Amino acid sequence: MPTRQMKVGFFQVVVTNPNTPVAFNAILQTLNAIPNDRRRTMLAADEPVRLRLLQQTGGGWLGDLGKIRLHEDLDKSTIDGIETKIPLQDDEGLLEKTAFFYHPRTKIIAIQQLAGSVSASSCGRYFKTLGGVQKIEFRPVIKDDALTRIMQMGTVEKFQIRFAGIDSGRPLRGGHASARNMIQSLRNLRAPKASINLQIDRDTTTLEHVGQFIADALDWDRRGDLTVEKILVVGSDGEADEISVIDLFKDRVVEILPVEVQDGRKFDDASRYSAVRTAWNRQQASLAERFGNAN
Amino acid sequence: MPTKLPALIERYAPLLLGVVASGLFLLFGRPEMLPTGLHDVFYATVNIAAIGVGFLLTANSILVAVDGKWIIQRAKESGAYKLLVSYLISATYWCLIAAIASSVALLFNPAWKLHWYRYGFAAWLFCAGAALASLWRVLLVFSQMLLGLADEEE
Repeated sequence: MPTRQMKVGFFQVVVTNPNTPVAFNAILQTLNAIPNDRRRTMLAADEPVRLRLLQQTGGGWLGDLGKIRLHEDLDKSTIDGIETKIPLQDDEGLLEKTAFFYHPRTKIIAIQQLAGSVSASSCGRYFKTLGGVQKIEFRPVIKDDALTRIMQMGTVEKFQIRFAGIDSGRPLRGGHASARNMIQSLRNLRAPKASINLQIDRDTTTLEHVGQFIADALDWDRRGDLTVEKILVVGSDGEADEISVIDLFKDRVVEILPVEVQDGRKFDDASRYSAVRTAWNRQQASLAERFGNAN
Repeated sequence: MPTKLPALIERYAPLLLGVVASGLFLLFGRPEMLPTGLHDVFYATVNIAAIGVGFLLTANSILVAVDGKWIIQRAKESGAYKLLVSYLISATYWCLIAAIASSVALLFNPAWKLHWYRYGFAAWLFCAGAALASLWRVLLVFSQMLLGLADEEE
């Protein structure tokens, strides 16, 4: 049977609700008690998100979020070329599914990552909205050795965030800008790609600053504000003159799993659930060591 | 979303400059102010308009030749390409109109001091101003496009 690769990303869940602190686990328990109907749906523009599955298993929560692509015209065709529209009701649309596994003790969530499906930021927004809390952040988990290398840097010389250039002119369409400004913007955003360079002052607590910048940059990428292509931390290790360069973006913890699919079709539910569990199992030991006691 | 001021200025620059030039003359100008050497200006305008049309045709052929380039594709997606093409067409028309108006003006001697000269010259100023602004507009947008093409070659 042919296989396709499935990517699973790992995120640390941070819930902020100053007046009444709430654990993410409690939010999931509340959602689990809600009947699996419209009450589990977050209505958002043309793409409502709903929790289609939630169950406790293997010391954590296995869940599946679905994004419903409303108001999209779908066409079908016979091999003879007879084309017709697939009739859909106003509240119907294509469903894009995203499986996740949350481990309460480490507060880490493993999320299936697939273009077009529910993004990590949308997941966070869903649980924030239905959980009724002020803020839920899904912070990407960075590889331990990358963080260790940064922490070992006596001096952070430079911190660089590089954003990807744009690959389409469509975002500028309808912006009512002049043709000259549009072409100027296209030139500026293409080459060289935008980058931010910060020379760190040796007298300040550099690592604290760098940590905040990294969090911000990852947040821009997660929210889709900007496509962050590279996050580099350049520094020297203690007294040594050798400069160390760490690309934090490449150092995010992800698992790429081969999943069997029938005739090149989409992943079925069982294989997606199995894949996120497998991804979690592979990272369980190292994440437990870093973030808490995992069983 | 309201159209931004630079976009409005860019879009209506030929009409704006034409109206301002002819309006100022109608307000403050007198037929007797028209110099006798005005014929030379009309000759020069015919020549400049012809050069302008030549430049516009060259710009058109460059655009067609580099159709597959990144900046052209992105400009098409953003709508900037369509605007540039419309500016090229508009500039060609204005240059032709200015050339024709100047050629007709050459038939008349400023020394005759005819009563309609005031309005005739204002009309010519409108055409010449619009042609100048439309050429300048194409030059500004097209230079950005050429710089974008140069970026690709680096």
